Amino acid sequence: MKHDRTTQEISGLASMAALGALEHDEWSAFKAHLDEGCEVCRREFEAFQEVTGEIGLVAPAIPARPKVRDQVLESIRLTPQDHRVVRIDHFIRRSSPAAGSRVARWGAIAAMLILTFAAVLLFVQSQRELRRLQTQTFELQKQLERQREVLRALASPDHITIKLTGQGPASEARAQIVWDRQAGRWVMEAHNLPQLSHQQTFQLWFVTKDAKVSAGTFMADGSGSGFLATGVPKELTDIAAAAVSIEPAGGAPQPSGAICLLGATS
Amino acid sequence: MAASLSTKDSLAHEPDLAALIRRVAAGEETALAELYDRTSSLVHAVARRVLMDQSAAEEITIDVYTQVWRQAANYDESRGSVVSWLSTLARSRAIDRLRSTATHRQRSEALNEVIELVDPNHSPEELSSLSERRRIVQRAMSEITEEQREAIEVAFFQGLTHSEVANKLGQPLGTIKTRIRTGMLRLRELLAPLEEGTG
Repeated sequence: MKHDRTTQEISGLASMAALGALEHDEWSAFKAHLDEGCEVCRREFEAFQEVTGEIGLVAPAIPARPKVRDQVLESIRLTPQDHRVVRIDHFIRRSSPAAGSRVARWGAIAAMLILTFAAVLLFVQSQRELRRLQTQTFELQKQLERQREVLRALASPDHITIKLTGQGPASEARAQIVWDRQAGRWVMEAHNLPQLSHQQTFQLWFVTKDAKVSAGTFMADGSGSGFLATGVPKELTDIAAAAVSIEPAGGAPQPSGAICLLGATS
Repeated sequence: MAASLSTKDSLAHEPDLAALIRRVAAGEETALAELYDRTSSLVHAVARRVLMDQSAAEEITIDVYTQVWRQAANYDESRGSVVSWLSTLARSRAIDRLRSTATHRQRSEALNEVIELVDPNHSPEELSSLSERRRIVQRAMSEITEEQREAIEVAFFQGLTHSEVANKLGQPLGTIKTRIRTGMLRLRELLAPLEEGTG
């Protein structure tokens, strides 16, 4: 049932949901309600998510050690971005007609206008082509960076491969994780993933006997392929499986949506 | 607490953070470095408060900024501030890490007793960037009741559900639910100037 106005009960539920204080079954029911499309509850939930984020400022500022900044910059150099906006600055040079007789002047103006029009057309076409090539280059760079990640993991003397198979509505999906146990890193490539709405994301999980721990979120590209490279927490010594679920944008603390990929580590 | 002009003015730097995220999305490494300089004390502090471990908190900090780099294009400033987004990322990852440890480290320090001092050598740019916002949030937290603040902070920094908070604080579940609900509603009112100030 969708709501048409906010009530104290809705605000209370949304506030606890945003804080992550609901029990698992309560959260599942609330999430299912949001998925039904109740905009009133979604707005309340998002407003309280903002409040919840601000609570972090209660913790007094503590800087990390300087080496962490270097490690962050090193990490991003090895990490491809999900999307990149390619910006092209347009520049059109103006010309002035040459002097001459009136007829010659008008002729020159007309010729200049035709030439200018042709030049603008050519310029626009070349910009389109440039943009297409830049996008293509970026996509190729991204693929290359991903393949390098995979090769690095495969080159490790201590690596294993985890095959993940599609589940439920994503039965056609498939994925492979190369687990570089020496570096403590998972590199995952997935294909034939279903398309999600902007309010959803895929989330990879480390599955142990006792817990499911988030390994990060990722999106699929237009062809249904996804990629994620992530560190494996040192504390997780008994990972039995890997799973991918569909979660609200930003991810969830625990799997709450449909499992679409699953694979055992052995 | 009403929004004052001075408060809004002091938060005028916030749209800059959204602009930084857009530059990060465009692949500018220098923008990510600037974002780190201006906000890493928040990310690290949240992770450290959850995990009570400097090294683990630093690993989380690296993970958070790597995630920001990867997913900056997905950030939608109409749905929340950069500060809130970063804080949420840090908290989520730190709580994931906390839950992944086989035995949760005994948090012998009561939350109220965790007193951390700001590093005097810390970047003035970062301190000025977040200090006003931090002051507003801390003032808001001081305006809700002690019991509400305790329940909300335990839920936030320890990642506990309301029944787990009730168990930890030795209070009836209904009491804890009421404290969290009324505290969060009041915080929303008190923090409204931040949303107005930052868009």
